[in-house]
Amino acid sequence: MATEVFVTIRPSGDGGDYTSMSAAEAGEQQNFVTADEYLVAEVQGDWSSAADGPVLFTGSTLDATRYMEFRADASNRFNGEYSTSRYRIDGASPCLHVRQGHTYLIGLQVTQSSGSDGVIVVRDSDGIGHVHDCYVSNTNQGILVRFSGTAYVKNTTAVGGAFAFRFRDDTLVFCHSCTARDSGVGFDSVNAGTNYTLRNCLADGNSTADFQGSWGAANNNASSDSSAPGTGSITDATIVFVSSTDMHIDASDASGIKTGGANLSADSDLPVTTDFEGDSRSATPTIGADEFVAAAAGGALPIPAFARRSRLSRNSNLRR
Amino acid sequence: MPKLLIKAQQTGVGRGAWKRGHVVGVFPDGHVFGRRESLPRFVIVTVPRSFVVTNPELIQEEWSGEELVHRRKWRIDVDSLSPTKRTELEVSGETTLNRSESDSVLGRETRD
Repeated sequence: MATEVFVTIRPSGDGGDYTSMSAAEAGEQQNFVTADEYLVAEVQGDWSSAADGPVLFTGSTLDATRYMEFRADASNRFNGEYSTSRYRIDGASPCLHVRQGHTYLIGLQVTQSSGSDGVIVVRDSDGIGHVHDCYVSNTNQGILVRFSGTAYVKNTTAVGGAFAFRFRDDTLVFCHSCTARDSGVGFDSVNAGTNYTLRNCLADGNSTADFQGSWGAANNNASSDSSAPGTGSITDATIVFVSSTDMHIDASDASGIKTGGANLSADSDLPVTTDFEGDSRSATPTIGADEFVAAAAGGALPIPAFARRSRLSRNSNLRR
Repeated sequence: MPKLLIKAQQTGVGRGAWKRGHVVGVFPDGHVFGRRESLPRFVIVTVPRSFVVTNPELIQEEWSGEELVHRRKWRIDVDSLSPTKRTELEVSGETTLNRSESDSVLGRETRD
């Protein structure tokens, strides 16, 4: 079994291994397959004073078990509402650009200050990106997969811009339990849509269309217009979020999305067992990135799963 | 004065490989680097602010359309530094250059 290399990314003078994600990518770049190692680079510490910059992930040799994982810890990961008190990446797009084998991006807040490319981009036949639990705000394209790239995207929220999620060309995409909100097009399929799988995805308030183009496998999606594709999907839904900036589903939502999703816990391509903040998915999960959890009467809110785990890795996830 | 975080060794494969002399990042005076932002992975070179201001391409990638040509368009040729400066880098991983020294080691990345 491959050996874990665990490094930390912390602000200047805070005792970490690295002070930026780009330095971590550069410092750890290697042939992970030959070394029989996988990397977990975790963002920790107080990042309220400054945002980190864009990162290009390329040049390392990776496979399914010898991969690179970049993730935010419990105090820094996206928790439903974008916050400058947490770690975030901001800069000219593409802000996170994957052009190599299995690279995981988990729990990251990513915003775009300039540029017209995708904010998180997976490109090329060598590009295999796993985007989990992230938040993307953009002015043109949010999550962009093109040029033969392969992407596994789940529990990710994209807002704003012309396209929240955009899948183009001869790419292979598994997109599960994601949310697209207040963009031009929520989920856009361009060209080879038969290679795109779309399950339990939620689109709301996108001005041109919530879903646009053709899809391969699609089911249990939801839209505020008539465009949600696939069996079990909900259309023309009135979806109620907690607020315009809070991506949690509000208790008053009566659209049917709270329990309208398909059970993806054992999906062979991209299993979904938790939501973006680590809450467990029910057997009839909520459609979108957030799993609706009713507050216990007079009791404390449940503790998200990620907050109970000090160090989780892809391999440990597989073992669970 | 700004600090350049510079790759000390080549890693990776293909056009995405980081090479010795590539500037990974430019950091402000007073920046405290992480444990692994040091030898053998990196060296830190402090340069005059004017050098950074007049060379904004220090951390630019080089692309030809959709094809990545180099991780960095330019590199700092640390091997052409004076023996004294090279020794400082080899021993402590850090050195400081004046403007003329900085200009003399800045070079265009060449095609493979």
